[in-house]
Amino acid sequence: MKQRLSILLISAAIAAGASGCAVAPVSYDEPVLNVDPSRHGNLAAAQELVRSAYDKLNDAQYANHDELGGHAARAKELLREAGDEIKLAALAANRR
Amino acid sequence: MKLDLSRLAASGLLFVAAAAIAQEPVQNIDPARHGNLASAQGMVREAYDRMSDAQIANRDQLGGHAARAKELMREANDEIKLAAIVANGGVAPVLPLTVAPAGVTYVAPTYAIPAPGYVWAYHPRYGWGWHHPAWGWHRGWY
Repeated sequence: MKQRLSILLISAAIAAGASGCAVAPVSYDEPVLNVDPSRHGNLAAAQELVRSAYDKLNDAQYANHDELGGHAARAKELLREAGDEIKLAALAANRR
Repeated sequence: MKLDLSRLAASGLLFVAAAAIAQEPVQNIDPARHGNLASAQGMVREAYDRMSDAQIANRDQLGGHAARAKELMREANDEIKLAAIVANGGVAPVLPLTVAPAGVTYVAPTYAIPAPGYVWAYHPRYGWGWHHPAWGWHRGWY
């Protein structure tokens, strides 16, 4: 059963690759830089700024002994989601 | 003391009103008091503007993801301001997780809160649902 599932997943990945379909990006714990700046300058720059803002919030949490009422943590979570959406926007642009 | 509390409440109410009106991220943190938070707000604003540029360059055909990213940035910006209010020793006003866009009608919760910490919020694709700040949307919405 496990083997059949693996074969199915591999087949799906090959089919997706062959058809040019984009596989949904993996979601990370922190914002990552995974947009090619040579193809999508604005989106890549936005992702970098989001990552920099995330790092600044880490610094703010540290400087305030993590006593910001949970709002810095919430902002970081929103920025992580924004980073994922930027990647999805780049994938959508690639499909055009 | 009484005066301080009333001033705090008034500033909180003003902030809520400003956040509800503002559709774009605003920079409203004193960099002299909160350098990191103010910098973070500045970067979020720049990222938001870059997304606007990307939308124009791609003729707004980014599958709705650029618009969603901008909405998330606007919410993040509001949360950063709330963090600064807390750092100042104030009590941050409770903001709705998501301010529904103009023209969206509020729909009351259709089922019970799944667990403590969830907030009834508006999802641009699926409509109203439960969202948790750490776990995301209930029912696996993305």
